[in-house]
Amino acid sequence: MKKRIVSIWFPRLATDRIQRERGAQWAARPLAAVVEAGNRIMLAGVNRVAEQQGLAPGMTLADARAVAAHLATVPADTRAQAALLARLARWGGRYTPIAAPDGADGLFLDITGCAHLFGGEADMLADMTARLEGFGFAVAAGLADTPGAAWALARYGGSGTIAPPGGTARALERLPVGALRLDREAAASLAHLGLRRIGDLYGMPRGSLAARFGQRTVLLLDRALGHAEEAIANPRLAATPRARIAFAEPIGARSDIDAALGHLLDELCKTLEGAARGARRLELAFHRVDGTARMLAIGTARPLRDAVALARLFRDRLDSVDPGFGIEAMILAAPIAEALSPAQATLDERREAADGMASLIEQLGNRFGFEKIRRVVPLDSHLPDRAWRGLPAVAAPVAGDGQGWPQTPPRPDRLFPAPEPIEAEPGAEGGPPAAFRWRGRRHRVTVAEGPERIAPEWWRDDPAWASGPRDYWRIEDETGRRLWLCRTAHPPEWRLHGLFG
Amino acid sequence: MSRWENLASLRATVARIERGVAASRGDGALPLGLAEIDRALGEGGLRRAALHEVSGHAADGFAAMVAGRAARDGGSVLWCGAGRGRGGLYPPGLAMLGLDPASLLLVDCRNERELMAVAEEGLRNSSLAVLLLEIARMPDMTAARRLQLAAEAGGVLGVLLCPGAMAPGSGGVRHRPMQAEHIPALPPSPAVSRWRVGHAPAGPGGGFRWRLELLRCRGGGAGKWMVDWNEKTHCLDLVSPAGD
Repeated sequence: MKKRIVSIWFPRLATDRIQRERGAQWAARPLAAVVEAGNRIMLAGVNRVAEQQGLAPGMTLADARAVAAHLATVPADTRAQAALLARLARWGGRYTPIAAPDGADGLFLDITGCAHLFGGEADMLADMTARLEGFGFAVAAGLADTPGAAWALARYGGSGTIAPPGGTARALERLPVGALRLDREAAASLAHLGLRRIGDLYGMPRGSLAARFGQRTVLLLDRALGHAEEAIANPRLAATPRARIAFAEPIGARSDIDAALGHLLDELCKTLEGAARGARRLELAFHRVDGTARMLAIGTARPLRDAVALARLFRDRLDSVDPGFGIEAMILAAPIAEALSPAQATLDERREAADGMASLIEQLGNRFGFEKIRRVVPLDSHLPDRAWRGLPAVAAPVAGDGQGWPQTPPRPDRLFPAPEPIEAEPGAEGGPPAAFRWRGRRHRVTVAEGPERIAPEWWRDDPAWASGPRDYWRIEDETGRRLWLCRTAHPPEWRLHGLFG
Repeated sequence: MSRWENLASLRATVARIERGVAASRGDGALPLGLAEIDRALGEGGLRRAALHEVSGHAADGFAAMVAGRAARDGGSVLWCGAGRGRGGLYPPGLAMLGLDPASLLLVDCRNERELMAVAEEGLRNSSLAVLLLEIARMPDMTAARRLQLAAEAGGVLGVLLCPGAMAPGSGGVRHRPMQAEHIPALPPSPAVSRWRVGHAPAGPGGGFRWRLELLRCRGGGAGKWMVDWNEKTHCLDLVSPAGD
C-alpha cells in the first residue's frame, strides 16, 4: 500500500507555547522568543502581532527593538518546546498509531489506511488543523506520499495542500528548492545557477547533480519524490525493551530455539535491569525463512526480569512453534513493563512466599488463562453472599496485609448461590422446622442454633434480598450433618443456604 | 522418643531416599495432632509429597482441616474445581476449619481434562503446601498415578476430594442403605491413604463431630475414630476410638 504522510508545521511554536501558558493577553502585544548567539541576542520566534510589525526570526534583538519598542521577550526554551512536541505527537495518536516529532517545530503522522475513519483525507486534515488552532497553535499542514513532500507542502505549499497519491512530482514542481529541506548553502548555490524550483531539478543528470551539490541534495530530492525510503521514528517502538537475534543459518531444532531464547532473555533482562523495570508481558516473534512470522506471548503475575523464570514460562509454549523450513530471526519484546527496583530483596520470607505463589499463578495462567485463578479477598458487607470475592489472582495484593475477615457467628463452608427451596414440616412456634425435605431426602432437625437475623443492605437494590430480612438457623440433622437454614420474611418460607463441614 | 516415633522417622527417611528428592517441608509427614491416628498412619502423619483420597459426606470439612494444618507453616492452598452442585466454596466458613482464606487460591476449570492438567501442574509446584482436587468420581488408575508422580516431584500434599465416592447414602447406593462393612472392595488407587469421613451427631453446643475411617494406608494400618473439631484451638479431640 502506498504510504500517506501528513506533515504539520507549527511556525510560531516558541511564542504559541508562551501564550498558551501565560494567557491570552500575551497574544495582543508583540512577543518574541530570543536566544543568545555569540554576543548577540537573536529572535528565535515571533508572534503574529510582532510579525505584522515587521519582525521575523533571525533578526537581532537590537534591530527588533528599533522597529517595535514595546516588544516583550522571553528566552526560547528548546527543551520545553521538545517536550511540547512530544505531547503533540502523542495527541496525534488519535489519528494514527505512528506519529512522531519532526525537527524542532513539526510533526509527522503516517496516516496510511486511517483517513477513511475521518471522512477522507481532506476532512482529516481540516479536522487536525482546526483542533490544533483551537488549542492556540498556528499550524500549516501538508499531505503527500512521502515525508519530504508533505514537509515541503506544509511549509511552502499553503496550509491544507494535498498531493494526490502518485502526484508528488507534480505537486512539488513549482515549489522553491528550499522546500527540499536543504541547508542554506546548498539552496543558495542552486539558486546561484538559476535552479530555483524543484521542478528544475527533475531533468538534471543525477551524476552531475551529486557532483556539484553533494550527495545529500540528491538524497533529499529522492526522498521527497519517493525514490528513496524515509522512515518516521516511531516513539512507541523505541520505548519497548527488546532483544533480537539473527541466525547465519536458519535454525529449527528445539534445543537451538531454547538456547536462542536464553540468550534473548539474558539480553532483555539486562536492558530491563538498567531501566529498573520488570516485564509483565513478553512477546517472542519467530521470523521464518518463508517470510512468515509466528508470535508467542506470555504474561506474568508480577514484574519479572529473572531470565530463568521467564524461560520456564515459555517452555510449554515453545512446543507449539512450527519452525517450518527454519527460523532466521527471533525478536523478544516486553511491551508491558512495570517498575521493579534493582534491590528486589529475596531475604524477606513473606516476599519469597509471595514469589512462589506468583510463579505458580504464572505457570497456570499462561497455560489455562489468568482469569481462571482467583484469590480470595474479604468484602465489607454483612450479607453472607457478599462477604468475599474472588479476584483474579494477578490483580490481588499480596496476601496477609491489613484486610481482615469480620468476626461473625459460624458460617458454612459451602454456600449456594441462591438459597434452595425446601419442604419444611412445621416445628415449634418461632423456631426452626421439625424436619424438612431437601433434594429428595428428609432431614430431621435434632439440634438448632439461632436465629441470626441478617437484613438486606437498604442502599443496594439487590434482587436476591428482595424477600426482606432473613433469620438464619444452624441446624444438625439426625446423622450429625449441619446445614444452614434461613427463613425469609416476605413471603415467609424456609430455604437452605449452605452446608457445614 | 517412643518406639513408634523412631520407626516413623526411619520410614520417612527411607521414603525420602526412595523418592530421590529432598522433602521441602517438615519431615515428610503432616501429623493430624492425634497420637492414635498419627500412629496408624505409619509415618507419624499424612505423607507430604503424596496423594490422599477423602470421600464421604464430611470430606470437605476434613480436607479443609488437613489443608489448614499443612498451610500453617507457610505455603498456599490450591483448591481446584469446586463442585457447583454442592454449592460454591465459601471461604469465610473455611476459616472456621483452620484454613486461612488468604492462603487460598481457587481455580475454575471447564472440564475434567483441564482439571487434571491444572492439578498435575499444581502438584509439581513446590510453593504449594496442599492441592485439593474436587472431582465427581475418583480418577482412573493412570490419571491418579500421574498425579501421584507429580505430587512426589513437587513435594506437595495432594488431596483427592470426592464426597460422593464410596459413601453410603449417596450416588448409586443411595436407596440401599448399607453398613460400611458391606461396601464392595475398594477400587485400586495409588493414593497413600484413603479416608471416608462422615458426620456424627454432636448434640447441642457441640462443634463438628466426624466419623473418621482410614480405609487403607500404605505403610500403616486402618482404623475408625470418632473425633470432634475444636473450633477454638483448631485441634482434633478424640471422642471414641471405636468409631461409634
